[in-house]
Amino acid sequence: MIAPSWAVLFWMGISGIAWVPITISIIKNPEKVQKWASMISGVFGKVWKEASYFAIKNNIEGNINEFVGELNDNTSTVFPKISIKWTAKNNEEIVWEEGGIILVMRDREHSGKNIAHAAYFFVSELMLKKAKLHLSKTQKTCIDLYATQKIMQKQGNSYSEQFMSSYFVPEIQKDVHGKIGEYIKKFTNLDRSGLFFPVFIQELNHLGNKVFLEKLNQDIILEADSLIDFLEAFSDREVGDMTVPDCFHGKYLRCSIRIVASTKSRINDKVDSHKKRIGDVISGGFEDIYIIGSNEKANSIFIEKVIKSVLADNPNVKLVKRYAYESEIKIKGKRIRVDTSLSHLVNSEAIKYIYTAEEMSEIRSEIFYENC
Amino acid sequence: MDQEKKTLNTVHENDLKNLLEKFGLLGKVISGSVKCKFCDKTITLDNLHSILPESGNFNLICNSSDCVNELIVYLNEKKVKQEKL
Repeated sequence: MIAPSWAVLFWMGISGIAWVPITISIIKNPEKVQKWASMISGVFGKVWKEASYFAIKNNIEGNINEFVGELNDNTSTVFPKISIKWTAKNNEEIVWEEGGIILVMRDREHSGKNIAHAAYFFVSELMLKKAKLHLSKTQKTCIDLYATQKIMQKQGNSYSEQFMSSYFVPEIQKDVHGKIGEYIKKFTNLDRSGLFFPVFIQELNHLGNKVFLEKLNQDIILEADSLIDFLEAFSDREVGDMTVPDCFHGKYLRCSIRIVASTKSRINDKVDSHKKRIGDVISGGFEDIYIIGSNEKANSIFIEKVIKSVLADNPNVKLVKRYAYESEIKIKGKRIRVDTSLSHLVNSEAIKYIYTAEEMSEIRSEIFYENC
Repeated sequence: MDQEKKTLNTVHENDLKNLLEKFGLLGKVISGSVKCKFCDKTITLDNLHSILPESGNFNLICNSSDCVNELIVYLNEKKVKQEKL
């Protein structure tokens, strides 16, 4: 018997070890695997017709579900993923439902067009489906355009350009009053500071879960606009400016953003002052409290301490999500990118799900947001 | 926990003629006698964006951004009506 050489054993060992991170990566990133599978099968698609179906399906599902995965990571909501079902494939059964759309997919060389159509339709139909019933047509269109553009941007220039020319630019060109441009500009500002998905989309999702016993009037459209203005003003604040409004108290949406990032408080371990500021908004009836601060290790530990202390004193408050992301902050007018931590607390006692006709007709205060 | 999945029904362009044939629309599309549900444009095999089966009919929608947006608004309004019922 010939003994294996050391070199063979060494390479077998390496390849054995290499499979572990590869397997972990596959489990952690199924959407990325779908995208790779789509690319590989696209090559074979020219010689194997079936692979074209496989490539298109995996390309669309991979790209959209990757975005949905990020959305779920960045909000406290679980958004549905997409599953492509072929109808009339190779003379097989025809699947359709009354009132349900059948989308036409072009061959693989039109993958940008396919994703643009599917992503826009998916975002419009499924993202914030209930909340969008209460928003204005322009608000809805802008949320759809912005969110779909985020999906397309990740896939590279050609996909992004396809979406821009098919949907985005025609909408902007039609918009003689510049309203769409205004909203998109505001969403971009919110997104730069990391507040678009984790706070704005999150708040709209809450709105969609509320029940209104009377037809909603213009109030809710105005309130959504004010929420955007509030978040934009907050996004644009200078670090250390404690005068910028940080509490939004609409008739239907009530949220507060608390910053836990002061080096002085942290060094002196002043948990109580932060606890009090957060406690004040809890007792003030705010439904959602977003705690923001640097994700640098020392601050992250301090935030954890503050939250633990708040939760111990308020059994009705739950930490529903804590996540880290990169955002832009403004120091002396200059924007810099920093690692940020956002914790979402929900004050279950303050949540109101049902609004009676009487409550809805109450005249609300003209001031939607302030520093508190 | 299994995450909810929403199904999007699609037809590959290779199967489009077959599908339209089954819906009794192929001849009309080829002869240019079918119009988009939302505009006056003639539907062709190349500009067809989607098919909307409704009340026993099959409405065809062209791929102009206006009509796709009209479709989205239309589906939303239908949902609102259904919720009210």
